[in-house]
Amino acid sequence: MRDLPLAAALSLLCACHTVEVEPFRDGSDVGKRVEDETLLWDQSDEFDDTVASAGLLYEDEELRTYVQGVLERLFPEFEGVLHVRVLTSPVVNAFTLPSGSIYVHAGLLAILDSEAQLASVLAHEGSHFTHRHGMRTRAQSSNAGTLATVLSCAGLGLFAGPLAASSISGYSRDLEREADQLGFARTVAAGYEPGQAVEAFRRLLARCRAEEEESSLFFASHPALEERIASYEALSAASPGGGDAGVELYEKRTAAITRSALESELELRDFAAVLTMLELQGGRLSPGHASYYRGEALRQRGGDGDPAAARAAFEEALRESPDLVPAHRSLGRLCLRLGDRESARVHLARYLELAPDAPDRAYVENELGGIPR
Amino acid sequence: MNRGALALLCVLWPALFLGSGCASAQWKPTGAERESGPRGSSFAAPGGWMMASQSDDTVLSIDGPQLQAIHVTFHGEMPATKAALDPAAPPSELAELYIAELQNLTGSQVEVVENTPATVAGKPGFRLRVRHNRHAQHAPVDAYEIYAVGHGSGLYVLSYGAFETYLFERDRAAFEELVKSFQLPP
Repeated sequence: MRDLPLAAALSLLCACHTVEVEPFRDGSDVGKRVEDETLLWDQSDEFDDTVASAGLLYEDEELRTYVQGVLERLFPEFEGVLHVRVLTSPVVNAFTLPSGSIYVHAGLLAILDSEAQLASVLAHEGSHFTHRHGMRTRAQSSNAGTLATVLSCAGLGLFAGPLAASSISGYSRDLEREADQLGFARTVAAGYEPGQAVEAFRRLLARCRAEEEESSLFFASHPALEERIASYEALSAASPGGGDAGVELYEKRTAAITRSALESELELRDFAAVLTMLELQGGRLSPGHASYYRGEALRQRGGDGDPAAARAAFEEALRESPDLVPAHRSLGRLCLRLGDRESARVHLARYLELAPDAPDRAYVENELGGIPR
Repeated sequence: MNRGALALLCVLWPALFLGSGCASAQWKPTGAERESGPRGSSFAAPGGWMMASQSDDTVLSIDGPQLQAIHVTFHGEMPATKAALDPAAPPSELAELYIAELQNLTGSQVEVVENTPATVAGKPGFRLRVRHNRHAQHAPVDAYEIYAVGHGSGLYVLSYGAFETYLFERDRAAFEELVKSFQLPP
């Protein structure tokens, strides 16, 4: 199901073309909208309301304020006009509405590992707004001017799949290139380390490659990511260097949403995504958590060699964090499956001891009760 | 879309039922006798309902499947996640698989309200209470109660779904009686 919006978007790309309008110079310019653009803004506002009322926003005001702060550091002259919102979805995605609403998905925040990488994505997205790419991207069909058309041309359905990201697939190649160049200049001007932009897109590419099925479709139609990494490398090589990476604060602010994205992907059984996210985000999680999630992905995947590797991962998690509650449950269940009843008993009992009010207590009690003495 | 996925979607989206392959089955009134479910299973159907069977899915409704439906379904595989199904796996793991299936089919729009062990046809299984909110304007929230048990080569799932407002509670007792009467094939 996840690749359907992408396929639809790709089929529409050929219908998109551009019209010329002047960029916004600052926040005072945004009142000078042409008629069709006002319609796009109204529809953007409706979109914002729909997303909010549907409960799709990630509720963490500290994180939202942090991301908004990065956006305002990049676009100080658009303060009060550009707004960022964080979505709960684990897909790797970010997109901009014509009104200046920027959406960043949990899955994207989870694979980046510095504020400068986030800044490169936001600078790119904000440049779509300042240079009115939504307005410039118009379709030849009779529904030209609707938000749906703009989103489709940007490679987006409302709940687009992991690759249907404007940061990745984007508008026309020319507009993407323009947003890359403008965004890169903003990132450097704001004092961020230029090389981090290259790293951000490398991470996007690595995550996309984990989605094998979708990537084959994506790369057949959009060789853009690799090309854009090369373009960022050239921009970075020509820049003076220096600047902030902002690793520590980024890791602190995004630790919770990274766990949330991992748990969402586990619930969807997208094990490749979980393992890639863990590889990319390194030590951002609290002690033991990365090993625990790796173990969970392997335990649930259950392929050749997975149970033994999962057991090793859970044991590692418990060495790092002896009271990591879910690791005891998972290791207990795995041991039960592997026929190691004594270890199963120890870990399941420890789980109940540590989490007496666990919602799955009845399951675990049954499992413990079923272990012969 | 294969039949397994279709059966799951019919569970989760009653409105799809009439417009899909599910509708091609012949409807008949439930009788006083025990009814046959998929793969040799059987159950006592509530009186005055209508039922239809197709392949591995039997559906029952009293007001129409857009409003409320009980499904008795056999899954030999998990169609959306392609997860291998081991009927001998502990109920907690089968529940884990089934929830993943629901989330994949609905774009993570299912809220699991309860997930507990349950005895189904005398065997350890699981029971879920879920809500499906499509987040669409004017679309009602659907509530579901689902029982399942691994047996033979797959998973037998008994589900009841209806609009959360009014209908769900009204007919839930009929479903609970059907679950109590459910028998697996020998």
